[in-house]
Amino acid sequence: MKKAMLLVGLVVVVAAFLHLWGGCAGNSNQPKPLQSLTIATFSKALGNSPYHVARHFKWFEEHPSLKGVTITYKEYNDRPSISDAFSKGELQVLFSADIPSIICRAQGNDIRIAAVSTSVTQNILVRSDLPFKTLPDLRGKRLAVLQGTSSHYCLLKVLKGIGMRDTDFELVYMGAPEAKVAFESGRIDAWAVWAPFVEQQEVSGKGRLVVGGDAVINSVMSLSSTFLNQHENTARGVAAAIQRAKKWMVEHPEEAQAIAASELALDPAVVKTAWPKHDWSVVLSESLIPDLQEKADFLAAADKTRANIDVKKDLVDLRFASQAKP
Amino acid sequence: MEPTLSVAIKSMRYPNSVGGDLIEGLSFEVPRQGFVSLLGPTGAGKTTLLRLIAGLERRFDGEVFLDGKLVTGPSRAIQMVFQDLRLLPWKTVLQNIEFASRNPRDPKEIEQVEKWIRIVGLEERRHAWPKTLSGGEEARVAFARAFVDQPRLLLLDEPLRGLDIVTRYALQDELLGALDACKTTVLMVSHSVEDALFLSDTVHIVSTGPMKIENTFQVNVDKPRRRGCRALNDVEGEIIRYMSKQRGS
Amino acid sequence: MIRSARMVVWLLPVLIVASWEVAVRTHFVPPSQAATPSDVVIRLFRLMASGPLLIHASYSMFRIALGVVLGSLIGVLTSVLVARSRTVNVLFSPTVQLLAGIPVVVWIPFWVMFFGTDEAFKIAMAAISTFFLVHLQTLQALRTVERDYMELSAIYEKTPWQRAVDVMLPSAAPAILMAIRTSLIFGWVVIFFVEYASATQGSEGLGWFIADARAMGRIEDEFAGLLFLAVIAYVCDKLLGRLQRRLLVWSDTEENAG
Repeated sequence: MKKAMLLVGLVVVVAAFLHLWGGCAGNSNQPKPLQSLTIATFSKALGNSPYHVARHFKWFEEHPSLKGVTITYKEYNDRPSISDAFSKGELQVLFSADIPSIICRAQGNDIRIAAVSTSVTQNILVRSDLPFKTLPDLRGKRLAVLQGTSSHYCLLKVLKGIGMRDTDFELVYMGAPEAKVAFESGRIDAWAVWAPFVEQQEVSGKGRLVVGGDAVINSVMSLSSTFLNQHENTARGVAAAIQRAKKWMVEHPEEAQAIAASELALDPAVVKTAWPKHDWSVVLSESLIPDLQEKADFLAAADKTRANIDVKKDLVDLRFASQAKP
Repeated sequence: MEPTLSVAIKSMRYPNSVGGDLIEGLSFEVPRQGFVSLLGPTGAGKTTLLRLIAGLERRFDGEVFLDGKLVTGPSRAIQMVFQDLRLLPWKTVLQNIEFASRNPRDPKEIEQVEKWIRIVGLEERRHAWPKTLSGGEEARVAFARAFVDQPRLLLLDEPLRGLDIVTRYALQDELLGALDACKTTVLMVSHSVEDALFLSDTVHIVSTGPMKIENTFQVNVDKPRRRGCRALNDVEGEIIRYMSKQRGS
Repeated sequence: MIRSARMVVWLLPVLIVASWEVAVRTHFVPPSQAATPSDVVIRLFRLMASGPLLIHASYSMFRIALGVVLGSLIGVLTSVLVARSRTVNVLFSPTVQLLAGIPVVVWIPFWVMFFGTDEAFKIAMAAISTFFLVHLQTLQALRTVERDYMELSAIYEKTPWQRAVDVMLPSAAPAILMAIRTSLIFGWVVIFFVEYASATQGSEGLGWFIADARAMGRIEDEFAGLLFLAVIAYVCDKLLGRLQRRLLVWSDTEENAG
């Protein structure tokens, strides 16, 4: 009898503990008026410029459906932190490349891509002082990339296309700020990264593009499902602010570049070099789904992600797509 | 002929300095190839005396001479079979005896080691660990180790203590046999009258607090001796009577 | 009524695992951040069968083995030198004791500068943490070699070298082996940490595998890697325990029997 009671007591304690822990996940089912909103980017990327422009002009705060909402702006430098933030309900809006968004979804974060900022061509950098031109030339050399980013995907995709593997290099996983230092000080030989980092090295003369190392990705806006479904009007307002920014950027390219340069603390020459690689008129539509699905399939097949996802059903949400038409 | 061992101690305190002096004037000699026993109650004093003679205790006022030379520290010349035998637990029987060799690879020394293993009858047990040995076997290893290097003086600290009578008698015989093979001078400390009488030429009755030689008995019985023979019984009787008188009974 | 004491041992672990499984399945814990024990175990067997996990494990094991062996040899050698010579002791010991107190983690930036390649650095970390443990434990054991054995050495006029090898080291062997065994356990932690957190993660290893799994959101892989690590570390410890018992077969103390 005593032992049974001990058992029951133990189960109760464990259950209580887990409930408290689970409670911290913020799985609340009762919608209340939204008081605070966190909008974040994954690293610094020129592809998120519509966000930077909208933030610069305070178009988020201005939108009627966001009146009275405290907006917090954040920048994350690694993907797992983003996933954690989504799980805990600490993040509602994320601006990043499509790849991290897909990976977070595959991990289990309930998020939806509700808008597209741009499509952009990515490149791989090699140090100017080295004689290598193509990826096969770089076999065995130190190549830096951040796991779970669009650049990581592009690298894998390009390698598959030419019959190489990531293990053919001395692959070094590094975040962008760290890799920048390592690239400039000569500790790494090549670097798969996104705008503006690529162009920074081009402009400074420290790096040049690897031939055949380019691929196209999309910069997207991901929303947590809880936010999207419980506060659809607010979400609509956020999407509208982005649309407004994109339209303005197409109409005022010079000023847009200036704002991007100042918000991201970049040399204007860098922004100028990168700008032509971005297509700000791209919008979210059905036609984007096959591309995203292909990416999800590729990563799942390579055993990189936790599971595959159905992009159409579980990732893309087109409810704001009509308002995005230019 | 010069005695092998000459002991002359003026005074010595207890090793941990508790109480008065351990020794206040003690001197005796052990003749060449002689066997002398110190018989008395079990106590730390007699062990300390042996350690002193072996050169392991230096804090005393007095002198110990071995073959006319002053003893200043431990050496191979004076071997001791300790009360706790002190076999090295991580060495087999063979290795423990080899420990006494200067150069265990020297063929002559190997021969010596083999000889002593045979003498103490441990051929079958040469690769056994000390922890698996019986009390008697352990004592044999200790003896063999002490004899292998042919010491000039052998000190025995209650070597047969705690053994059953059969083993004791066997070991006594073996010890005498060993002494035949290797003519060493022996000083033994014991609380057993029987052991002392069977093995020694001279028995000093010793009292402690401070240590003194109360009386000396000569055992003029030819070796090999027969246990229970009249001559031995007579001396035993004398000693027992004397010791009873000392205790005031 | 629980009959056997052995079964009681399993009660708590089974309870914890069962609660964990339930918690994840019922979404008490967000499934994006956790995996059920059943999924983890299934994934573990898949990974072992398809190969990568065993390769990573062998990298980690190689690093630890080399590090622990190096650290132990140097630790024993230096402790013998310090035990023998007062001069060496005065020169060496205060510095060693000071450095021993510094958490291994703090060493990392220093050694990253010093050791060029990744492998040397990782092995060095394991070697250093092992060295301090083995050196200090062996030294203490050497210093407390029973006076009895030292007297025996004196009587038989053993040279300091003979005394060290024939008497002091075997006498200290139980302590040395225990220190090595502890170093191995700790070595797993060090190697894992170094593989996981090192900025230059180009190499393989279980720590790397687990970090990679976390970075890409493969929660089952992450947990499977951790489980595998725990199992291997446990097995290694048990094997070392067997070796310890064989080497100390002469000893009659209980701890060496276990």
